[in-house]
Parts: sequence; C-alpha cells; structure tokens
Amino acid sequence: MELKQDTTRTLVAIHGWSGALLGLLLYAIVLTGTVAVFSNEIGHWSVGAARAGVPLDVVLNKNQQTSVQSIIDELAMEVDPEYRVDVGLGQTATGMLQVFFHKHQTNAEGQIEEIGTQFSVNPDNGEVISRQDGTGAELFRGDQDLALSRFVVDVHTELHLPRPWGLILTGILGLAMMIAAISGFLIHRHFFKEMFTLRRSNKTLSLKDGHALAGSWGLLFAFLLAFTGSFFSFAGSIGIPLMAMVGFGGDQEAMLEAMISPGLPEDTRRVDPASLDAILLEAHGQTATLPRFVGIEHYGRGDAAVTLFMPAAEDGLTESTRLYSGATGEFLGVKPTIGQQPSLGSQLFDLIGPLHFGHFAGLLSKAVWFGLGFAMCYLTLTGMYLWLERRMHTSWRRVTKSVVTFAHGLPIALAGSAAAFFTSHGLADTTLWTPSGFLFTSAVVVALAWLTPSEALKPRLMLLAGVSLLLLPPIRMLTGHIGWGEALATGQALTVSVDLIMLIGGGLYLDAWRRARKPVVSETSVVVQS
Amino acid sequence: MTSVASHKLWPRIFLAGPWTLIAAIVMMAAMATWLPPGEAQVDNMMLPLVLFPLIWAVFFFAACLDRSLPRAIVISVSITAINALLLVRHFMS
Repeated sequence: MELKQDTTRTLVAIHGWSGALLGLLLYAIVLTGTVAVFSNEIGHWSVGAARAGVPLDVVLNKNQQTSVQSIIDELAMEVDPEYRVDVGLGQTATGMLQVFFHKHQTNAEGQIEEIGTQFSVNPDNGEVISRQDGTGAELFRGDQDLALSRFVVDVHTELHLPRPWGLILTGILGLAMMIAAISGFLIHRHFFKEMFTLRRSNKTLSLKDGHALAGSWGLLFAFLLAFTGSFFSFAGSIGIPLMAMVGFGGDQEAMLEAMISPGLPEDTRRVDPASLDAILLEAHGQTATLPRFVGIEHYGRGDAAVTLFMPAAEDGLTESTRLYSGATGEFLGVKPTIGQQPSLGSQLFDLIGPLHFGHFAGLLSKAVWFGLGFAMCYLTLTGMYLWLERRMHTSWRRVTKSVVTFAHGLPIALAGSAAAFFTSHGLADTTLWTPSGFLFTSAVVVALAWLTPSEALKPRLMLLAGVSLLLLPPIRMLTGHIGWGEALATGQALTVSVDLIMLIGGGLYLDAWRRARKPVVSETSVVVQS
Repeated sequence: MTSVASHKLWPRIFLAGPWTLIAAIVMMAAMATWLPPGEAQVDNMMLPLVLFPLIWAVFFFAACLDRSLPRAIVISVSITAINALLLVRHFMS
C-alpha cells in the first residue's frame, strides 16, 4: 500500500507512541488474557475437582438415585421465599452443582444486582456442601476456590482497579492496541514478504524481523482481540448504562427485561415446576451437549421460563440459547441472546465472545488463542525494545531496564500469586492472599532489579521465572492438593496437563536463561539484552 | 508527531485523545435515537455498542491524519454537535 510520505511518518509516530506510552500495561493485559484463556481449567487445577465431568451430566445416568429437579425443590424449601423468584444453575470450581436462588434489586449506586442464597450441592446424592447468602457480586468475589483464576481474569479485565476505572483503562488499552494494529498494517509496505523473513545476522535485525513477522501473522488476531476487548470494557462501564439512559430513561431493569428476558406472557399462578431433568434430556437429545448454565425465571409460576445456555455446536462458532416453559416443559424455541427475535445486533454480539475468548472449538481453539496470545506478548515487547533502541542515546534508555523487569517480572508475580493461593487455600482467605502474593513477589522482583546491574538482570529474572514455574506443581501437591496418581485415577487429566504446562514453561525459561548467559558481542545486542 | 508543527502538536493530541473519546461516546448514545431498531427492537442499541471501538478509530485516524488541523476540528466538532443535538431533542421529547 503506497501512502504519502508525511502520512506514513504520522502513522509510524502513532504506531510507536501508542505502544511506547501504554505498552507495559498492554503487555500486562495481553499476558494475563493469554493465561485467562484457560481460566476455567486454572480454576479446576487450583482446587482439584471433587468429581469428573459437568454436574448436570447426572441426568444421563440411568442409575441416578436423585434428580436435579428434586434437588432444586428441596433447596427451595430452605431459602427465604422472597428469593424463590429466579434460580441459576452453574458449576463450582470443584465440579459441584451451584444453585443460586435470587431476586433482583437496585443497589445504592443505582445498579441492578442479584441477591439471594447460593448452595453448592453434590449432584450425585443431593448433599449440600455449602450455603451462602449475599449479592451475586459478593458471592462471586468471595468464592475461596475461584480466587486464583478470578484474580488472573480480574487483572486482565480491570487491572485489579475499582470499577469503572479499571474497565475504562483496559478499554483505552484495547483502543491503543487496535490503532497499533491498524497503523502497523498501513506502514508495512512489504507485508507478505515480512511474513517469511527472519534474518539472524545481528540482534537488532532479528528483533525487527521478529516483530514484523509476528505482527504480520498475528495482525487479524491483534485487531480482533483489541476490538472485542475494548467492546467488553466500554460496554460494561459506559455503553450499557448509557443505552439504558437513552432507551429506557435510565431504568436498567427495564432494559434487561426488554433485551434478555424470555418474554413469556405474565401468569402469576403457582404451578408445580416441570421436570428440569426431562428438559435437560430433551436438549441433550437435540444437541448432544449439556448447558454450561441454566436460568429459571419465575420459578414455580405459570410463566416460568427455563433458559439453557448451550456451548457452541461442533460445526458452529457461537453458543445458543434454548428456551422452555418452566411450567409444562415444552420447548419454546431457540432464543436470540438479545431480544425476542433474530437480529443483526444479537448476531454481532454473539460473535464477540467466541472471538475474544477462543472457546468456540473447545481446548483446540483455546490452545490456538493461547499461542497467538503469546505472539501478541512478543509483539508488544519487541515493539517497545525497538522503540527504545532508536532512542538509546537519550534518557529513554533507562526505561529499558524497567521493560525487562516488567516483561519477566510479571510471570514471576503471577506464579507468586498461585503459590500464595495454594498455601492459603483451606487455611486463610484466598481472596486476600492471592493478590497479596502477587504484590509481595512483585516487590521482590523490583528489589532484585534495583540491585542488579542492567546486563545481568535479564538472565537472573529468567532463572527466577523458570524456577518459579517449576516449583508450582510441587507446591500445589505439598499443600494438600490432589496428586498425579489420584488425578489420573479419577479422570482429572486436566490437573496433570496444567502441571505439565507449568513444568514445560519453566524448562523453556531455564533454557532461555542458559542462552542469555552467553556473552553478548554487539552494542545493539547489549541494549536488547539489558 | 514529526509531520505536525510543534505549536499544533498539543491541540492535535487533545483532538485525537480526550476529544475523540467524548465524540465517540456522544455518537454511540445518539445512534440509539436515529438507527432503525429492526424487528427485534434491539439493533438501535446493540449496533452502537458493538461498533463503538470502530467509531472511535474513525474519529481518531481522521483527527491524526487530516493535514489541516482546523478542518479536522470542524469536522469532529460538527459531527459531535449534531449528535449531541439529536440526544437533547430525544430527552426533551
């Protein structure tokens, strides 16, 4: 693409400054986002599943002694009647059935929130494992088992800052990534040639080619991630409240009712609920899958609606929503995610999740997203190194040490948060200790960087990162979590797989450390190495 | 930015930075009032929400790449003002 010279200069400046000013924070959300692709798996890995499979698979077991419907009916008798309005059925980190009886209310900030009673239940025998009361946000944030995976997701989505500021900041970072992707595409005149060029004659050239190569192959991915990520951040913090104000006079409940509610005609008569087990079996018969979440609206009423949130079909990209009458069990149709009829807006919305999370084809697509995520980390870091290298004779060169510290310190700090989680799980408040472990490890890394000469910093941090990752599986097992033998015997290969990923990651870091210790030979490589 | 005279740099940065964000937010809100809602009655709200990053990107690149800073300001402010007026009319009615 031929551009005027001054346009190209401006685009080069935009590309460089967008990365330079926000690059470190961008790297933080890209790296944690890459890890968060496997947030569900990390949740299971961090506590060990008490049972294999998904809890609702009990409906497929013909020898099952209890039913999902009887579990819900029995729990309903134990909760405050005012919470028997809606019921949500999900899964805990340990693979148990999570049942949340709740109603909606407007909080002091004018936001709609759920409040009620949440149970964790063994779906095989109906045994209640735990019971908690509170708002949806309180119960979610206070979940001891999910503290580690939630912390990683929280850093990714909000940089662990209070709402809405964290969301707004990550939204801006998403926009910065988007303009870096667009401007990068426009300024690279030999786009296709750069996809296959990697010269290794010197470090600077290798870095430049590596940046262009990763950028060329990952351009579409970078744009999609940035676009969908900034959508999620801005929609949650600004967009939805704004739309509620424009379209519904600020009434967010009315907006949710119009856009998400099943929309069945009102019928307040009390009726016996239809069998949820029969509904789940019907859905399984039609789709060969079970829902990842079930929502029951107006439980026990004539207008009760059961909504099943089904994972994407094998040949599909988006999830689907099946709607049933909660009074008769009749299948009412496949409901659009937004609104009562199919629409362009709902279809676009449905695409955003799979494109951002990469969960449309199970572990395979997640693995691809994971790999591309690391390519984006490399792209961000090499971009910053190149930008700084051009300014190595100015005061900017001092920033290089900070970039090296941040680049290798963040994985170490994340490993520190995981170690703190394992150590505190079952003994203390993991929601406090997990971020504390992150902050403490970050402080250690900063102190190490402060005391270490620039040329020796990168190898030392690599060594520390490698050792940190290698130590995580033994720390996990030594703190009383499930071992490999038991995990494999109970069908929890996922636990072993995540351990192996940690060991491989640690091994790769140690190999990089070994290579980084070799003496540097050129001035340019000193900049890159330091 | 190397192609922009230094005395125009900060107005350009303000235009492409904070102002662009404000302009995109105003436009997103106003689009809900003039986009057709479609049969499902949701398109007028979902499309601006989903397209917000692209709306911002268009404002941003227009603010950065237009050689004439006054023209870039006039275009951006005019579009924002029209959308703001549509919003005011919506709330007044």
